[in-house]
Formats: sequence, C-alpha cells, structure tokens
Amino acid sequence: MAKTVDFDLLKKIDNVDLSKRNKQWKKAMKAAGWRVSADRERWTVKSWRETEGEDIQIRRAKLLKCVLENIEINIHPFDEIVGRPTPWVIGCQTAIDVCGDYIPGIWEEAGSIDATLDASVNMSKEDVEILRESARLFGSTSLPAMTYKAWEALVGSWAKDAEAAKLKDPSLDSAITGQSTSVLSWKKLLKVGLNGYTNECRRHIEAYKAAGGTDIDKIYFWQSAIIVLQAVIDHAHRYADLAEAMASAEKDDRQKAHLLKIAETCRHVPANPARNMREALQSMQFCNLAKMLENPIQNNCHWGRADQYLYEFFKNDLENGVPLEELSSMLADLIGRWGTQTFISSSTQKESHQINFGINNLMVGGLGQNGEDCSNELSYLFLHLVASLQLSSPTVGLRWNKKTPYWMMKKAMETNLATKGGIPLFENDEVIISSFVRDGIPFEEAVEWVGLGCVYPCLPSRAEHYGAEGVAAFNLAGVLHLTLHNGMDINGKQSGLKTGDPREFKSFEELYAAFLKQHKHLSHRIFWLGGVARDMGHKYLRLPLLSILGIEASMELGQDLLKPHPDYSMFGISDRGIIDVADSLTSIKKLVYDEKTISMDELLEILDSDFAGDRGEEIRQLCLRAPKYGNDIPEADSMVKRISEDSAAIIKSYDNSLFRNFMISREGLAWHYYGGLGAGALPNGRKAYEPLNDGSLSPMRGMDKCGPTAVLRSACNVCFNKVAYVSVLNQKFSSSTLASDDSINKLIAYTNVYMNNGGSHIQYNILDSKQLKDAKERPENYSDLIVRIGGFSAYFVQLSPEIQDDVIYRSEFSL
Amino acid sequence: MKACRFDAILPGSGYRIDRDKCTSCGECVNSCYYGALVRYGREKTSEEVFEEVLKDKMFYDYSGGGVTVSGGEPLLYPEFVFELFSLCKKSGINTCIETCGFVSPSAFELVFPVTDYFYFDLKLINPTLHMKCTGCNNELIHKNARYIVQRGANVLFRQPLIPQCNDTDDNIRETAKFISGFGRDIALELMPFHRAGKTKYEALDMTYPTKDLKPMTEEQIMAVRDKYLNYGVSCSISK
Repeated sequence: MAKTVDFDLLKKIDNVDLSKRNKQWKKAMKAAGWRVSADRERWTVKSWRETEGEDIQIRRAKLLKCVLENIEINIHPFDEIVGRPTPWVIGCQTAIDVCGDYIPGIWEEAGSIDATLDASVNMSKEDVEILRESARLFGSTSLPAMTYKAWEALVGSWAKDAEAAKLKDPSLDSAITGQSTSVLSWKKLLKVGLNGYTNECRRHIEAYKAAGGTDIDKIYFWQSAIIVLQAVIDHAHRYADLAEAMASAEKDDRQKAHLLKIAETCRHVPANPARNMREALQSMQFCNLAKMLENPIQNNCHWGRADQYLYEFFKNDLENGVPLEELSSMLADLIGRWGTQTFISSSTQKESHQINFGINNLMVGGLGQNGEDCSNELSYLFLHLVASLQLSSPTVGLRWNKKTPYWMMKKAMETNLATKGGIPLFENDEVIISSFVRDGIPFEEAVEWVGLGCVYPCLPSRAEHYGAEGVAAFNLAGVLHLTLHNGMDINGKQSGLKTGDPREFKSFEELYAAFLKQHKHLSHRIFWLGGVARDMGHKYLRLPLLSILGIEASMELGQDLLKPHPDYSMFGISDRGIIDVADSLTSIKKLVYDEKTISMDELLEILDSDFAGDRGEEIRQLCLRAPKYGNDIPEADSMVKRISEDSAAIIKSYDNSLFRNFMISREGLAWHYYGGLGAGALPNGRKAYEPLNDGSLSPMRGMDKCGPTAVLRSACNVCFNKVAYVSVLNQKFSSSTLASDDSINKLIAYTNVYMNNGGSHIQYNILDSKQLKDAKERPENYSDLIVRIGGFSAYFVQLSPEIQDDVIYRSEFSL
Repeated sequence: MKACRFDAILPGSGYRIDRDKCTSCGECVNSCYYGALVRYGREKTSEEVFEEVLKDKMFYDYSGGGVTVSGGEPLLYPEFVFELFSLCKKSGINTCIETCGFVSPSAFELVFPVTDYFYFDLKLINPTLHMKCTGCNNELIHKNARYIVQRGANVLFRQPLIPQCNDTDDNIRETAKFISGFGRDIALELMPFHRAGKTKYEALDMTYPTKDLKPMTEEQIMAVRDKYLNYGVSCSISK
C-alpha cells in the first residue's frame, strides 16, 4: 500500500513564506553583478607545474587539493548553508585546465570576458593574465584539443566543417566533460560520510596488493580518491574556522549562535554521516562545490530524488521539534544557491543553450522500489519553495504515473502558474522505466532514473557519456538540407554524401531514400568519432572526485569514470528536428510529386533564394498550407511517424559494442535556435536560419490550428514512445486559463489523458502580461496561443487590439 | 478579385466584401494563398460532426466531459441535434445544449431523451422589457423552461448580465422568484457583458451595436451575485 500523506502538514506548507534570510539572499542576488574569478586558475597552474612527472590520476587529485586548500572563501550574513565557488553572491570559476582555451575574449586587448549572453565582465588585467597563463599551459593539450587532433587524423577537417554547418552538436571544448554523470550518490554519501569512502578505498588498496594485483592504475585511482576526499573535508574545516572567527567578532547574539552552529556542522560533515537536515544539506553543498571546483563546467548541482533520500531527515527533524520554517529556510537557501550557479561557456555553447545558469535538476514523486508512487510531504514542500523563490532553475520534473496523487498534481499546476515557466514539467515514469527495462536494465535500477538537462533520463548508477552533448547529436533539418543539395552543407562544403541532384529523382521514394542515406552517413560517422573521443578521454583528463562520489561502481572497479566500463556507462543521442523534416517532406510529396503544383527545380530555386519575390511568397504560402503535424491529420502525422521510426532504426543499427547501444532521447533545450542556423529555407515554409520547432514533439510555430486536444492526438499518433525514452512537447496557455480551481482541474485532466495515452513529457508555458504584449506585437509567433475570456476560450491573435488589451489587463491581475 | 464570379469583392484598400452580392461560394478563400480571407463555417452532416466529436473521446472518457451544441440557436435544428446526440449517447459521450429557449416546444420534446445538460438563458423576466430588449415575447421561453425542469432535466440557468438592462433590482428579484418557484435547487450563472464579440462583428462587416457600453466592474458584478445569493439562489459568475 502507498503510504498516506499528512494533509495537515500540506496545509501548513501552503502557508510557508520565504524566511528573512531567504529574502535577504534574493535581494542580494538580484543586486549582485555577474562575476568571474581567476582564483582557481591560479592554483591549477601552480599545482600542475609542481606535479610534473607524476601519474595523471594523482596529478589531477593534487590539483583539486591545491585549489581547495587555497581558494578564497566567504560566509554571507544570510547563509543558512555555507560554501560558494567564489567569495561573491553570484560568481563562477573557470575550467581552462579541462576545456582548453575556451573563454571568449581573453586574448583581446581590453580583456573583457563575454560572461553572459548579453553582458561582459570586466576583469582586472592581472586576472586576465592568469587566465591567459593557464590557457598557454593547458590549451594545446587539453582533452578537447587532443580530441580534435585525433578526429583530424581520421577525417581531416570534416568534424569542424560539420560543426560549423550545425550538423552536429557544438563545441567539444566546453561540453565533452560537462555531463559525464548525472547526480552524486547522495544516499550513500549521507549515510557513510566521506570518511566511509576513504576507509573503503584503503581496504581496496590492501586487498588488491594482497592478491598480487598488477594494474597500478587501480591503486592510483584509490589513492587519488583518498587525496580528494580528505581535501574536501579540510575545505569544510576552513569554513568551520572562518565561522568561528566571525562568531567571535559578531555582536548580534543570534547571528553569533548561528555562526557557531555553522562551524559545528562543518566540523561534522561531510566527513561523517549526516544526522539531520542541516548536516545533510551542508554535506551535499560541500561535495557539489568540490565537484564544481574539480571541473567548473560540471556546474550542474543535480538534486536527483531529493524528496526521497532527504525524507527521513525531514520527518525526524519535525518530530524532534525543528520548526517547519527553519527546514524550509535551509532548503530554500540551497535550492536558490544551486539554481543560480553561473558558468562561462564557449561561444558555440552559448548559441546552443542560451543560458549561463547551470541546468540543475530536481525530481519529485514517482514510483519507488515497491512499485507504488512515493510522492510525500517533502515533494510538496519542494514544489512550494520553488514557486516561492521564482527562479528559472532548478528544472523540476514530476515523475508522473497512474498512481500520482491528486494533491501532487494540483500543487504542480499551482506551481506552474506561480513560476510561469513550465515548473514542474511532467515526465512519464511508466514510459521511461519500461524503456529502460526493454533495453535490459533491471527494474530496481531503472526505477531510480532522474531527468538530466531538460528531460534526459539518466541512471545515477551509470556514467553518462552523453552523446547528445558535444560528441554525438545531430541535426535532421541539416540532413534534409544536405539531401536537397546533393550533400552540400549550408556553408557550401561537401559534408554529406553525393546522393544525387533531387531534380533527377523520379519519385518521392527516391528522395526519401537519399535522405536516409545522408542520415546514416552523418549519424554513424558522428557515433564513430564519439567512440574515439570516449576511448581516449582518460589519457588527457581524470576526475577522481566525480568518479568516486558520482558512480558507485568506480570504487569496486578502481577506475576513473573517464575510462568508461561497459556495465556502468550509457550513451544518449538526440535526433533533432524531426517535425521540421516531416512537414517539409509532406509538402514536397504533395506539391511536387502528388499534385505536381510546382516542379522540384522551381522549389529548390525558391528555397535557395529564401522565398524571395512575389512568386517566392506565393510558394511559401503553398508550403505553409500543406498539411502540418499537430492537427490530427493522418497525412502529416504518418510522415512524422515514418521518419521517427526510420531514424531510430538507423541509430540502432550502429554497432557500439562493447558498449551499450545509443538510447534515443528527443529533448529540446534551446537547440532549435542553434539547429535552425544549419538549414536553409525549408519546404515547410520556414525561412533560412530561422529557429526550428521547439521541443521535439511541438508542432511548427503557429501551425497547430485545431486546438490543444488535436495537438495531443497528433502527438499520440506518431508513437515516439515506441522508440524514444522521452520526447518534449511544449504547450502555451495564458495565465487566465488557470485562474480557477476548475480550470486547474482541466489542465490536470489534459495532462493525465496525454500521459495515459503514451505521452512521455509535457510542459506548460504560462504566459504573463509581458508575453501577451509581445504576442500582440508579433502575432506570427503566437498564433496557437489560447486565452480565456468570460465563459469561452479564443485564439489570442484573432482578437481585436482593444480586446487583446482587455486580456492583457486581466492577466496582470489574475494572480 | 478575379476569382469571384459575382463581382462581390470591392476594390480599394482592404478588399471588402459586398455582402449583398456574395453567395458564400468560397472561391475567393480557395484562391487566396496568403490567408487574407478566411471562411468561417462549413456545412456538415451530423455523422461528420460526430466523427469530429469522437476524436476527443479519450478526453471525455477521462473527464466525463462531452459535447456542447451552441449557437446561434441549436434548437432551430432539432433533428440535427437529435441525430448528433443520439450518436453521442450510443458512445457514452455526455451531451449539453446551450439555448435561449425561444423555440418550439416540440424541439425540446425531441432532444430531451438524448440530452444530459441544458444551459438555458434567462435574460429578463418582465415580458414588456424582454420584448423591448430582445424583440421577442418570453412566454414561450418560460413554458419551455418549465417543461424541461418538470421532466427532471439537469438545468443551469444563465444570465448574460448587461449593464442598465437586466442588472436592476426588479429583474434580480423576479428572476430569483422564477427560479425558486420550481422548488428545486437550480443554479444560476451570470455571464457579465464583455466586448469580445466586437472582433466578429468587424470581420463580418457588421456594426457593433454596443460599442459605447462599458463592461461592469468586478465589484458591480459581485454585488449582483450577492443579491441573488440573498434570495437563496445558488449563483456563480462565469469564468
């Protein structure tokens, strides 16, 4: 039986406000500028020079030790949980030793760093010089640099050409090690403490020596783990010392007591098992912080299933009389800290991700080992706090299943309304678990999956050699571009095969066969190069801390996770742009081959001119009027299904042994913008370089004209769940549609129906008045937006300007 | 313009349609690639409409919801409604009619057995005022209301709340009395006047008749609702 929930506690949670400390933090955070520190690079360079000649595993461990011993630390007056990568409220360290010479702008005379999408950070001349020094030391031998050299040896300039044409995902430089694991092993970590890990390493060393083992790499691995684990404990003790020093100078008695409490906590964890919520969260923060300082591109502070592994601490603390407000304050502090962790990415990463906050994930609810839903009061509190904090991160995923209780769904919709940003999104537990099981993962392991990035399902037990990031993701819209241009990419390079001039094709099937040929050529080559990157990674980089805390099997194996083990690694792939390609092929089939309205020659010419001139616009309108996915039209939907299945078959046909096959996860991120840069005008009516469709199952912008239920029917018709673990569907509603309990219940029903019929993910964008104003200005981007007007719903863009103003006015007051 | 065989498209900026000449053949819409002209409404058989309804069955099955026929006035075509609803009932889909009530009693008799819900308009109780504001007598409306209530239908009375027209104390009192008179708890939903219809009038080249009428404020609407509540009528406001 599922356990019963304490409804009185839920009611109390509904009334919890952010604490004074939380509010002080928010204010400081909003006022704080983005800062970039050169502090870490100073110590990486120093350590790397000192350890020359030692084994790389030990060198990397000593590098982290040197950073943790020396990096500047600070405690802010509002901190519940201490520890930040820089002394500032918002700031990040850089990762030149890992990523190479990746930071945009460091060689420019003025030394201004493009820290965010729209802002530069002025660093002092001395600091820029530190970054340059690090780039000189690590630049040419970093893992990404060495990988490009290997690829060059195999395929010449092809890899870089394909990246430039946006055919594959961008920038090895900041992505290759970005997501090599999902979440740390929080449960074990809180249970045994870092001393527990250290003792285990010592036992392994003794046993291995006693058995006469001859692989020195294993010994080095365990030794490296012992070095970094102790360094993390010592780092915590530096904070304890600082808190004590600050306490002795503190005049305010309450703050003094608070600082002493912090000191006591930092003395105990992360060295030892956590005994309560404060110690658990503080322990987690030190480990995540050290993980980030080992590799600042690993900026993703993933919670994983926090409502599960923290639940005992939560219940015990409440029983022991810790006020709910105090627990909320600590949790909100850490949610906020992790949600505002910035990083510096390379320029191509910026194009593809459009963010500078680390994407960190939190899962709530979902099935447990006993097959029952395990939503609890802490899941509810997490949702409540995320709504109160109003941040764009963490990405909260609700693991939807048929047993998800109503109170959880209701709170989830209220949270959506409060955050307006698709928080939480809904992922189908049953589809994802059964996908893992279908691919041979035992249920007990599969049931612990967590969403990573935006939705990608990961197993915390395995290292993720995330194909979809930097190494092996590809752009189907780009593949179509190649097909229509006999293998020539958007930059005019022959990146694809010569599959023939489409003007010579006698039937649609010939064109389609050419598309599949291009697809196989591109994807299999990307997988191959990805495999090369996978096998060589450990020669140039090691991540001892991430290995020991991230993948439990590393301990037993005595092996860094950059040396992937077939039993403990996974490879994801995202075949992106399916809807754009399908709608385009539907148009071509109808206009060129079936109805012969235009010739292929004319179509190609018009596409290459980007629909220029009157005739161009006329043809574009014909293209737009061809059947589109998202309206429950069999002709359009069956094309999507066909491409989905054929694409999956091509991916599955790649022989990835000794490792697992690629698992397909059709996710979104902001990739549609990046992917759009790799395709000229398309026969679905989209102009050159414009963004592709968002998500992977969302209809073409403005082309779903039969209402939101038709979108879901189309999404079910194409059966992505048969081949992909998860596929992203984004839906837009205005906040007026969620104004009453009644309408919240309708949205719950809408969600439940989709999931019950095989939907794997859905996410709602709740538009506020600012976005409605934008919709009024730019109706072409919002033609599917539905608003609620006294008693009925209407398409926003079809209303007259005064009425649109009415709706905008009301949306400002509906909260 | 060339596409129109009846010369109904007027030259000049905006290309208006001469509604006297237009036969609604739709050729102009078919030949306009740019989507500048849109055809609203299509002729369909009850089977064709049912097919459309059936597509959303997965939603009805989950929510218990179904199909609502609305207007215009659907009961001007009672046979069509009867055919459509009969098909719905066979598939277990919930049915609902939105009606102004000003139709032949035989229409209600025909559709009653296949209708789960009636949304029934009560605009004004006073016959003289009703005649003045709507142009018709409300005796037939009241008769039909009595008929469906007495046969035990699920009814929701709805009142489009028009400022200075039916929000008067007299009408509120009379409406409350009319509803209480049935001796059954029947709810009333207020639909406050809004101006969303303006867009449609403009699209159809019609003059918007209430362009000077301002929507009521939230407070005014609540005041009307409270008066109904004081009379013991379960009254809510449409969202």
